[in-house]
Amino acid sequence: MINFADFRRPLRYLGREWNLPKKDFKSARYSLRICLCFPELYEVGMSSLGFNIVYRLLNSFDNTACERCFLPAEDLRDFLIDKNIELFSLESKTPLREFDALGFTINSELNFINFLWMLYLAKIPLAEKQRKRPLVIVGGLPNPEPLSAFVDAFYLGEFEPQAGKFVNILSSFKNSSKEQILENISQVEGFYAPSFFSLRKGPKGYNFSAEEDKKSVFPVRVFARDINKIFIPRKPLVPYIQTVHDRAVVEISRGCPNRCKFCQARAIYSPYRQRDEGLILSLIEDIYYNTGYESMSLLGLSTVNHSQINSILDRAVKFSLGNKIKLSLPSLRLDKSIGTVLEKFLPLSSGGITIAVEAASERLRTFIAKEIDISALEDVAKIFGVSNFTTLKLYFMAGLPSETKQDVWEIPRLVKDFYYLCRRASRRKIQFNISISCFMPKPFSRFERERMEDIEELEDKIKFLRKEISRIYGVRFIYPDIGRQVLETILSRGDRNIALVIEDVFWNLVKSRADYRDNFTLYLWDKSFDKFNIDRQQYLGSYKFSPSAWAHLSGHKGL
Amino acid sequence: MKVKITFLKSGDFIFLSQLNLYILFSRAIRRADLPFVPTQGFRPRLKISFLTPALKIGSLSCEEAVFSLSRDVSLKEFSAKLKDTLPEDIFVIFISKY
Ligand code: SF4
Repeated sequence: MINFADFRRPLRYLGREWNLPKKDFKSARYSLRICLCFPELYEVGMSSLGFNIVYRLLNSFDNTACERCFLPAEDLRDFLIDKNIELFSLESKTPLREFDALGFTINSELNFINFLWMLYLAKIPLAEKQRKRPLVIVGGLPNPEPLSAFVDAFYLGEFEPQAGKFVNILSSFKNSSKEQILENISQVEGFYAPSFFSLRKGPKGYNFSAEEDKKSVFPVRVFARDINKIFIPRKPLVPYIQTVHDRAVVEISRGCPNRCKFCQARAIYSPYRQRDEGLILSLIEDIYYNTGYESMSLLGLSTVNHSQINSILDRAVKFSLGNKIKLSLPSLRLDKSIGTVLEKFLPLSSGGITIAVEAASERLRTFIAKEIDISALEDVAKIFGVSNFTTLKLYFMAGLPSETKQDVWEIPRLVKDFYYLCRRASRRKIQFNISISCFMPKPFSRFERERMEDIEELEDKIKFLRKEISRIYGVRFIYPDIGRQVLETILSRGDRNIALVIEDVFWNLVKSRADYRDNFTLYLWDKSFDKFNIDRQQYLGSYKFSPSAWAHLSGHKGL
Repeated sequence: MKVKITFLKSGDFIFLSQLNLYILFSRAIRRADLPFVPTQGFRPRLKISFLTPALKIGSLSCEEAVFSLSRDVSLKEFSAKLKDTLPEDIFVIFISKY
């Protein structure tokens, strides 16, 4: 037995959260045992809405017991290796190897290495070809090709419409061969078994085709046509330690009606769908009384676009005041209506406002189709003056296609103007944060074929911005990690060849028992790229004349 | 009105620190819809104070906490509601006015 008191934050490994499904997870009466895995620490994984939805959804089936597992922190990880103990699920502490299937949620390419760590710690062979059980299924990735060698089946898109079929097939073919299960699951839209298709790079680009002896539907991304009618968890788990987003979350919409060209999220979650006001309000109440969370957030890619946002907010604010809850919205779009929206928050003593401006110059904003109303910043400043808001965070991007020196110059100018506007409106101390990130040409965004700027170009721009922005008294500058963003771009645009590199980097990290933060050290990756003679630049350049490794995965289907 | 509870921390919950317990109690009171007194500030918390000193985590312990309520509630109602919203391993032994 492991004495969890010997490790940092032992509550991570307890598996006894409030609202745990009332199931005897150890019992043999379930025909299907699944472990949902998240390749990040507990605090991060428990903050993922998608992960929590799938957990409750699978447990809503009587014949299924679904448990969880997160990446163990380095202290427990090293202990497991030294003592030769296999990675286990939280609820019943069962070794992962004993489950019928493992379902990984991977929502960032930067977690590829952690994903391999979890398989390794569970003593499960990394290569798909060397495994029979458990089935390894990965969901959440826009372009999953880089993991093809390690995964039995991917799931593309939203899981709610297909969960029933999934549970049915897995439980009825429980004792069949892996091959047979995959063949059946491949008939279900949304599933994609990479071994059933070949993806080869030829002189004219990538060639994607079905293997001759395999039967499968062509891979498509699934979305729920009506997000009012799908399964919605009303009893989310409540952890006993602070997580990254330690609050109740109520989803009000999926997708986004705007068409910013750099945006991957709108493409992956398209089309735009919204939830009815009545349902949202009943969710707010139920989730509050079922969790007791002292803060709540309304979630959506662009919440101000909800056609009923004003009355939703009126009622949500009233509920929050009555129950003394903190209410927040995610980052706001600078819209003409932003003043009206923010005003509704005035009665609450709220924390901060986040606004994604992205580009400071009008010209560049038009070019990237970020159609916002910059004059609305004046309304924001006015509201700030009469409110209790304490922080203001603005997001910008550097390295956007067509960006000129002039465009970059305008960022500090806009920040300065806005800062003084706010200072004039309010005598309180305001925490002003300016966050810059680098543009990444992500698959399925409208800029998917653009190039990412070189590290040197980006460094110059960031250096300039830091100098200019730090000069404004009272403004905090938040840097991007350029190397990490370059790596993210490479992995997100990767093809199947890149698996060699991922695995090599992984084994090097295992050998040195590196901390997880070393996963992103670019020179480690460069060494492996060199070893296999793969030019990493090919994943960063412009794709104008070369087909992409993910084009075959652009189909959508509503169910 | 103030209510004092004496409780036993057992099973897996021996790993909860006083801060963890504080959050657990705050949320349990909200789930029970009991009339609490909020603290000022960014994250509205509840007025709860611990009478016993913070102990080293990882051992069975008996502790005491005082809850401030915004209006009077019978002890019977308080204990019944709280019992439904606390995990089993936090075992309430005794409830009294404070
Ligand atoms: S950046 Fe925001 S507003 Fe623009 S398309 Fe993406 S989600 Fe919508």
